[in-house]
Amino acid sequence: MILVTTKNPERNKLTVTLNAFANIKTVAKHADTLSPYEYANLVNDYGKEYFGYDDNHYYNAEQLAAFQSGRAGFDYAKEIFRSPAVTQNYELSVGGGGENTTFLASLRYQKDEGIIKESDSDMYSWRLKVDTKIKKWLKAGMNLYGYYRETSSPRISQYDGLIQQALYFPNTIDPQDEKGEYNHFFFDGSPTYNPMGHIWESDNSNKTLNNRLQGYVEFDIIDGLTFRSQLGVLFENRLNTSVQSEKSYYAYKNEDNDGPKTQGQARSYWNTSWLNTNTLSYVKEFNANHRINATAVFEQSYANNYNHTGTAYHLDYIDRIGVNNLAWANSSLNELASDRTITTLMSGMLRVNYVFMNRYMVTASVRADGSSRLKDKWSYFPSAALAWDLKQESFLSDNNFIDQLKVRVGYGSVGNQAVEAYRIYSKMSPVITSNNTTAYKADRPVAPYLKWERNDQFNVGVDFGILNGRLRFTADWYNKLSKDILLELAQPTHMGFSELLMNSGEIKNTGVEFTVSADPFTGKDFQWHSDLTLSHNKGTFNKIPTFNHRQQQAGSYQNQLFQMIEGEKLGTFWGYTFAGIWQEDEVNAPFTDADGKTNGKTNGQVYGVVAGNSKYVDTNKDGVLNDADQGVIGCGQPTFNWGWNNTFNYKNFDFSFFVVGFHGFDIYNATHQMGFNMISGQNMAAVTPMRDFLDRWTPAHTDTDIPGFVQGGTENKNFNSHFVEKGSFIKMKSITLGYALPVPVCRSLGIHHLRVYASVQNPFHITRYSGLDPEATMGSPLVQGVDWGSYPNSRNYLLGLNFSF
Amino acid sequence: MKRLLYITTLAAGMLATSSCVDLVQEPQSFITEEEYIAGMDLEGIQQAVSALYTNLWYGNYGLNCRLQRLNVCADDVTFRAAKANNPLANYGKLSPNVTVNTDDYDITWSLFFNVINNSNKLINNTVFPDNETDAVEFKKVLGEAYFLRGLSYFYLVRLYGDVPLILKAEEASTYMPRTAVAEIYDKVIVPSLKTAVEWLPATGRNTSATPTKWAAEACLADVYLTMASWPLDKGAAYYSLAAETAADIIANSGLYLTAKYADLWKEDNKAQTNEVMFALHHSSTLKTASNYGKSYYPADFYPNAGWADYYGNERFFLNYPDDERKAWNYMTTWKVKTGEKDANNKDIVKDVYYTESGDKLPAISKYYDYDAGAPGKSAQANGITCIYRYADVLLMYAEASARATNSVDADALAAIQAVQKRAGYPDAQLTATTDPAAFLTAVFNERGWEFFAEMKRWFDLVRLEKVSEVRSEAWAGSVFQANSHYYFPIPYQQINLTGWTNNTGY
Repeated sequence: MILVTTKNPERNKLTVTLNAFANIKTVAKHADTLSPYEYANLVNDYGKEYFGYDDNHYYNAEQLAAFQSGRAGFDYAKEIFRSPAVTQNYELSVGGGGENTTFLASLRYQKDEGIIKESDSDMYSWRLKVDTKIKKWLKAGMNLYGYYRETSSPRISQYDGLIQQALYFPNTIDPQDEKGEYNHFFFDGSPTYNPMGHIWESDNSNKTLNNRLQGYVEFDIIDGLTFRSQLGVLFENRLNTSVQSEKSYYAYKNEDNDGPKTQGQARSYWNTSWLNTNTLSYVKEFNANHRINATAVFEQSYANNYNHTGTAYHLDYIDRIGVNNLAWANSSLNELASDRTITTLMSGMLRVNYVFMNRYMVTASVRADGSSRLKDKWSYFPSAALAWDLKQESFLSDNNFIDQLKVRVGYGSVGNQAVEAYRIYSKMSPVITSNNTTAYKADRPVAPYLKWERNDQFNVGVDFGILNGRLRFTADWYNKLSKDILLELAQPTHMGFSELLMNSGEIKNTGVEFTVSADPFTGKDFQWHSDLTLSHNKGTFNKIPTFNHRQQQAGSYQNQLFQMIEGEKLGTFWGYTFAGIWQEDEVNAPFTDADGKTNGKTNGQVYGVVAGNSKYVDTNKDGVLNDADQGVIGCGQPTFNWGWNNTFNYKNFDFSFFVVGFHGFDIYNATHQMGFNMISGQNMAAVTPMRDFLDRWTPAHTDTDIPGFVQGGTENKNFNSHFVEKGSFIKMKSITLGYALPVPVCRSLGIHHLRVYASVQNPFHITRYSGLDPEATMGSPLVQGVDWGSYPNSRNYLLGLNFSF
Repeated sequence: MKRLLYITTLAAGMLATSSCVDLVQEPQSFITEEEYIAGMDLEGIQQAVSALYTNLWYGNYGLNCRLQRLNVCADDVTFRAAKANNPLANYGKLSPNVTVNTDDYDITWSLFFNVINNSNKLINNTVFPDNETDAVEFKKVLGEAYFLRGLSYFYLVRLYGDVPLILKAEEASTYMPRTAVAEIYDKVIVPSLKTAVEWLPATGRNTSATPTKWAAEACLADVYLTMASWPLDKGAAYYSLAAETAADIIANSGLYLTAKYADLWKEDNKAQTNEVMFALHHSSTLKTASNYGKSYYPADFYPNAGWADYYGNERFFLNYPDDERKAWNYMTTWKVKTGEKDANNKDIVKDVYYTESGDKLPAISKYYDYDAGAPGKSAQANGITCIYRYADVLLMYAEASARATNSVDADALAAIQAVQKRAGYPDAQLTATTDPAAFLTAVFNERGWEFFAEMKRWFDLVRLEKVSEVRSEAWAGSVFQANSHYYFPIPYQQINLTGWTNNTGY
């Protein structure tokens, strides 16, 4: 159950409020890549060293001169970003009411430009909230809110996506030639899609219309006993359209015998759902010594979501008609699909809270949850808590130094049913055969026994306050065990399917959290309030039910770096250990295995390497580099993190800043590894404009960690320790300065409140990480700490206004 | 009191209108496997079995791509040396790498087991109608599933050696052992194909895209031929079985060779069933594309430069007789850009012979007709992946009967000569020797030339253990020589998940 507090207007007064702000976003940091001139020279050197070509094979002297003077070259890494990108937000609300009825109405408009070009969002939202007291014992109300939103964006993906392609695209190649055709190739002519095509050919639009209507009635039955019933209904319509023109990425990748394959697609959704919550609560204070608060809740929800998609290929008159009429296309290729999903949930909860003598508190509750998505539909989640308010005891009640001291102990259980609808059933899917008939193939196996995930948590805490509330301190220790985790366990393919969803596995999270809240200054003119939170959490896999007690994280691309290992932390990296570069003498040395025996071959012959290739540790010295030589090379889970918020008020000025820090974790810099063309699935040039290449291995310069341009050996594409970096950082999240018009001035102008403010977000960070933004790697706890062409956090400058009358 | 009355009526009214939700929700937009298979009528089983061919195709870079890549280990097809870090170079060196080439193994391993498991579901769970004639119609379709199961296991044991034996879904378990090759042949390959021979009709449901009884017999002959040599070495008994089976097809099927070799590889002739017995059909518009596009065009080809994944091996090309097949199979001259432009800014092109081209290797032009008039434009193309055709049956008969009896009879000579005549040999060049050794050499060579780039050569080389002979330049120091086997590595992720030991050397 989630408690939501909504704004409630004052009675007998009409208040009009206006909030507005403008947010100017800029890219905080660009990567330091080679200039076109430096890169062209590097590429020529590559030709000499790798293929043995003459000087200036790829770029002749004339071209080099053009790069040097700045007449040629294109900075892809900068050109994909808008600098600056502006967000505007305007909100107007009117609230008021009389003795029995209050209302609040508001309208908001937000226009967002994304930091990457061609990404935009427009949102219009509205709300009307009315609460009325029909009789002394009967209250009712309604809350209508919704929004209309329109967004568009270019193709950001972990596979050949825009960000990593633009970062490493040869900046000596112009995006288009004199005829306006894209240059879809690298410096050696090998084919690739030019990154500016993602931006300039982007043509899509996602529209959402979302409306929620909520209503409730509340009865006061007898003294202390109330019953409230609430019903909320949600209607959502979405329309997502996109057109992939001849020059788009899709058409380029899917060229068939009729030429580049254009595509038009329209997908629409009709989603309806309702949620009904019924609460019966009894609040009674029998006397000063006994207080009881009991609640019983019955909740049920229903969702019916339908979507359908129409896709057409080889569109005619693509610029004039496009997606407006998908029939103007090669109709033999049309695709249609639709899907309906119905899910339901039911819950019941009973909770009793009893306070004895105003200092001993007991809470006990039990809830039963049922879900249509699971096989084992019902599960029961109990919880209990005890608290002792020591301040109320006789030995502390007169103490002036301590003004709050409370000890808490609790145990609770919560469930999770996040599984796809109908996952417990097997599935047949339609496919088109080679003679244009429909066949049905088996899609996925029955998930034999899916039940609720349980999160059981035990925690102990203390709240401590001194100096009349000017210094408050809380500490919590917790131990959370997540059981029956829903995991897609990788299966060997001979089973007929590569993954099976099962309740298996356990995760344990233990940690402590401290908060310190202080008011060092509380004068008339100057106040300073400070909040500091510190937390340490250790999340480990308690149980992984495979034969070697570990499993690779399911999923592709960045997920493949992670291994779930029993006993190890979440977010553990798994890979080879990097051991420098093979030198000529090492390559020619005889190979010795673990027993010290030689087999007549050199290291170069056994591993297939030449001098200048990257060297990895062959842990068991068996002459092959395979999984037996891989191990834990790092972990992306922070050991501890803190946040510090300070607010200063001087007369009518307010100033605040907020700093966060994350420590004790590693970041796997996959973006850096992509620059070496060493990540599979990313189509990069053999040489990219990375500054590292200037320090590469050559027969004359052997003391380095960067592999050289050498032929005939092997450069593996695997995850290894060379790209693991320390990720700890301290970041200033925001600095805000505001000025509020003094109250007397407001009154004389006839207004209620006026404040202007300016803020900088993400102004700077301190870190040893070499990539662009360590914070962007903090994602889901299972796969955190990897930098895989992430969307960069921007530095924002905000100007705002709050105004009410 | 009045208040209580109000409250109870309102509450009752509300509860009555909002009925309780049903926690049992059945799928709205698909049918489950169990329901579908239990309720299949004839059309239903046809649609389910047709999906098995999509499983066998397994995507744009599926069977059609991977088998050709693995075939680079053989002597007819080779790779482009000038491509930096070319993973096919490992096949050129006869040293497959378990991580660098992992896609080839992952995909073939997955696709064959996919077909096996889906075939098993249909084989074990189909409910036959009570009516005898209707049941026979069902068997005609289900025979295709038996055929595909046998064929898939046949590929798996040849590529990977010992593999898990699964005849029913319940038998599959994560840590099940790898069953020995001999047992796989005896328990699943031969029985499945025999059932297929019994049940399949003489003419296919859908031209050569579905197997016929004769296709199943051709596969069975191939199986016997392979069991007779490496690794099982069952010898003459199995050669005669192979010869018998092939003879049955020659005598009773009514199949005959297409008059011109070139016509076999034309897009318009895909529906002909006189020679092609079973093939995967491809159509790039219908999203079941083949890979016969850019991969087969030279890197400097004009107007559209190809990816040049495959070239013809030059030694094989030079030994190839100058018949109609060679003219169709190889492209030796093509246009390249000179680098200069004419007055209208158009590229000036010239013809080069392959020895003067960038990569100095002849190109494979066998499948060019499948590119729909746009050579080298797309990686995807149409066409067929031919698995069995009548010429194979003839040559299998010739080889099997000679090895079984250690003598050359008239039928064997007739068989090889039929293939050679179609290739355009003058009469003087036809094989006429009755010396078994010379005859077998002639058959071996003829197989190489007839099935050039048809993804079969590697399997011939392996079963006759001729790899060291024809690939002598790469043999010494190769993984195959060092470990005395010809198997590819089982994908390493499978090893991780099952705890198996991989084939030695990986």
